[in-house]
Formats: sequence, C-alpha cells, structure tokens
Amino acid sequence: MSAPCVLIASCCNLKPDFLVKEILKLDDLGNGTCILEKICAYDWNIETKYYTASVQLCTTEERTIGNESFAESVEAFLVCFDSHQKNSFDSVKSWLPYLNQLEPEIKMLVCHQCTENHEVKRLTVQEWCIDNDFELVELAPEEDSDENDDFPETTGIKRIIQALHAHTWSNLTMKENPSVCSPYVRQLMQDEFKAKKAQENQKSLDCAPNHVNKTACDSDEENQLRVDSSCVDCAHSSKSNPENQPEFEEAISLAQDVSKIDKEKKPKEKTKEESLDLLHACEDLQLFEALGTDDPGGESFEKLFERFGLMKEKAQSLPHQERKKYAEKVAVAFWRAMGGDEDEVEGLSETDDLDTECIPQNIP
Amino acid sequence: MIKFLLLINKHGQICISKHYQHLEQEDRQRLEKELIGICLKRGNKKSSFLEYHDFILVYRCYLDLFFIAGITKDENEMAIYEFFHLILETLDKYFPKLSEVDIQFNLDKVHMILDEMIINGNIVETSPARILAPIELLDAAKR
Repeated sequence: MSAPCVLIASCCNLKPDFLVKEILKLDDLGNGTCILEKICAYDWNIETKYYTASVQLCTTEERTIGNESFAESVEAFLVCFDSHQKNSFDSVKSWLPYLNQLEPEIKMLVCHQCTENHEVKRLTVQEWCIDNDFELVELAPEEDSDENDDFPETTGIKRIIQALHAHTWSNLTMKENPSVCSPYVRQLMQDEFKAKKAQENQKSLDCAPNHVNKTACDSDEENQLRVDSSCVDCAHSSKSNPENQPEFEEAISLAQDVSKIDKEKKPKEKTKEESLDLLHACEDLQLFEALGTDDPGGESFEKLFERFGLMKEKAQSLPHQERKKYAEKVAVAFWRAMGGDEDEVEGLSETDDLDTECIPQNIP
Repeated sequence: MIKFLLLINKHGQICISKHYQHLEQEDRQRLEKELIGICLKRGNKKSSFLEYHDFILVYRCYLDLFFIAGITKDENEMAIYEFFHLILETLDKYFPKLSEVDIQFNLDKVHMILDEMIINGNIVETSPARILAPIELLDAAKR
C-alpha cells in the first residue's frame, strides 16, 4: 500500500500549496510528483518523540476522490475557506459526499480568521464543524488575553502540525527507546552514574584495609560456628546421658568466653574504622600541605575553600583529640593559602606533624 | 463526587474516559457524544460550569485538550476546576513539554496517574510528588 496521504484542498484564493509550504517549512516547494491527474504529492517525514512516519501531502484543485487506492490512503483532510464569502463555505459543504468516500480520520477547516462579524458567522462555522467532526483552525486568530499562560492553546499552522502529529498513521514506526523519560528517572540515572564513579574511587582506596577487616570477620564467624555446633553436640549428649552435665556447662562457659572475645574484638574493629577515617583525613592534610606551598592567595585558597564543608564533616566524625589536631591543620592550611606569614605557623605545624599518627604512614 | 472524567481533543475524539458510576455502554457513548458537542461549542470563553440533567458539568480547555467532568451537586465546582489544573501540572511534571502525543502513547501511565488521584470518584491525593512516586518506582524497576 502506498504511503498515507494528507489531502489538502481549498475553497478560496488561498492556495493549498501555501499550507504545504508552511507544514514543510520550505520557501520553495519545487515540483511535487503528480500521482494522479491534478493531484500533486510532496513527501513529509514526520518525526515525533515516539514515532517516525513518512506521509504524502497531496494538493488538489478540484473536488475528487482520485481512484480507489488513493481514497484508501487518505487519512487526513485539510480544506481552506474564506469566512467573508458565503459561497466559499458552501463549496466546503459540497466536499461532504466526497469525504464520506474518503473517510479521513482527521478533518480540519482552515481559514484566516473567523469572527461573528464576518459573512459566515463563527458560531455557524463552529457548529458545522462539530456536527461534521471538523476542527476549525484559524491561521491568524483574534488575540485573546487568556489568563492561563502556563499551558496556552496552540493555533494556526502549529496547531495543524500538532494535530497531524497526534494522528496514528498507518505506517508509523515506533521508536524503540523513546527519548522521553521523566525527570525523576533522569535524576536516578545521574545518581547511579555518580555512585558508580564514587564506588570505583572508593575501591581503589579501600582495597587493602577492607581485606584485613574481612579476614578478621571470617575467622570470628568460624569460631562462632564451631562453638554452636559443639553446643548442639553437648545438648544431645546431655539428653541421652544426664551424667555429662558438667561437660555441658563447660561448653557453655566456653561459648560465653568466645562471645566475650567477640565483644572485645568489636571495639577493635571500630578503631580500625577510625583509623580508616584518619587515613582519609591524612589525604586531606596532604592536600593542605600541597596547597599551602602553592602561590599564596591564588587558586589554592579557592580550592581549599570549596572543600571546607567536607572537612567540617570529616572533623565531626573524628574523636575529640583528633578533631582538635585536624582543626589546627585546617587553620594552618588556610593561613598558608591566604598567604599568611610562614613564621607564625612554622612551629605549630611541625610539632603537630610529629604528634599526628598518620604522618608516618604518609611518608614512605 | 466525580461521576466521570473525560479528556478529549479538539476533533472531539476521546483520549481518556473514566467513569466512577455505572452506566450502560450505550448510555455512556450517547452521553459522551453529547458532552463533547456541548463543550466544543461553548469553547473556553464561556462559563466552565453548567447544570446538565442531574449533575453539574465542569470543563476546562488546556493545550487543545478538553478536561470534562460530571460531578454531583454536593461537589465543589471550583475545586474540580482547579483539580483539572493539578492533573495537568502533574502530567506536565511527568512528561516534560506535555502534548497530546504524550497522552496518546502513554495511556497506561495517564490512567495510573489518574487512579492515584481519584478513587471511587473522590479526590484522594493532590501532591504531584506523591502521585508520581509509584509510577517512578515502576520506571526505576523497569530499567
């Protein structure tokens, strides 16, 4: 079957070619292909968010249904008329029997402007349109100061294109991944991307310490398992043999011991985490120092300032004593970045460097 | 309560039709056809409220789409009028640059959004963020 058609006709001096030009947004149409006598066709590729379709815009000078295959391919019909001339509207009416044959789904009546003062009154036109499933489109509608500006009506040629877009063309091909997705999903994708990146960075940093933690945990779990199974064994034996009671108690005390060890171990793990945090803190400190040696008052200050929020958060997670030291480091780094006198801070930072645990780790 | 909600385009074609009270298929179609005629004829320059048979008709035209609702007489017309705006804002939030095509190709989503907002003819949710939450959750799961 041939491509679906939009049949464009005119019952006034506005040429159908004009609408084709407007729809295709071309200044010069050139010669369309004559598919039938007095019917010219121009290709139009429709591209919307959801589908693509190629249709033909067909112009005709006179009332016709072409031939059978053409009549079948007509899916939309546009007709122009002049509201100043009654006979123009009458000739639109005489299209109706043809339209019964063509059966287009979209029917639009196009005029320049239609008001109550014209020879053909707006209300008459509108009622006729509704009765015959037409849509009235004015190319230059009366300006109305409508209050809902957020979602204005589209008019004129834009409306014609919009209405044609909204039609389900018989040959449309859906796009596989419609580019529309809600802002939320877009946000989600961005977040995921960021998270992935952050994870990769984290991995490279945490690789070694994580490993240590894991092995420690694993061995703990193994211990727990062993104790559990031994408990079960004891329970069995105690049931069958009441004399084994002391043995059973022994097992319980053993289990308790192990759990005690567990409890003792947990705080140790915590300190491990703390030291991890400290490691990060040290990286920051390195940054401070690197920045501090930069030209004073230049970019380094801005960089430092950007990270200030982060530093504050980090400082809050540190234990009291560490926090103080960290704060001092920050202050010193700021002092240097601002281009303050080196003598003021020299003694301070050096003594602190020696005190801070993390510095030896940084120096290979 | 809201008896029914219609969304039609300027051609008089129905995009969305939701009824919250039982109506025979034939009556429904007849009613819809009548209402479409009335609303298209009145356009958006006349009052958006009118009494019709045993209910009140409220309609509003946005983006070349007509929102039409039939409500019982004890319902607040202005509230429904504003509710149309909320529906539109919610749809617009989900489909940036909303147009008729979006509704046409996402009927399921539009129905879900409306179902979040109206239950049994009563407005139950008016926060766009909460209305869209389940759909967005689904979208997130689909990826």
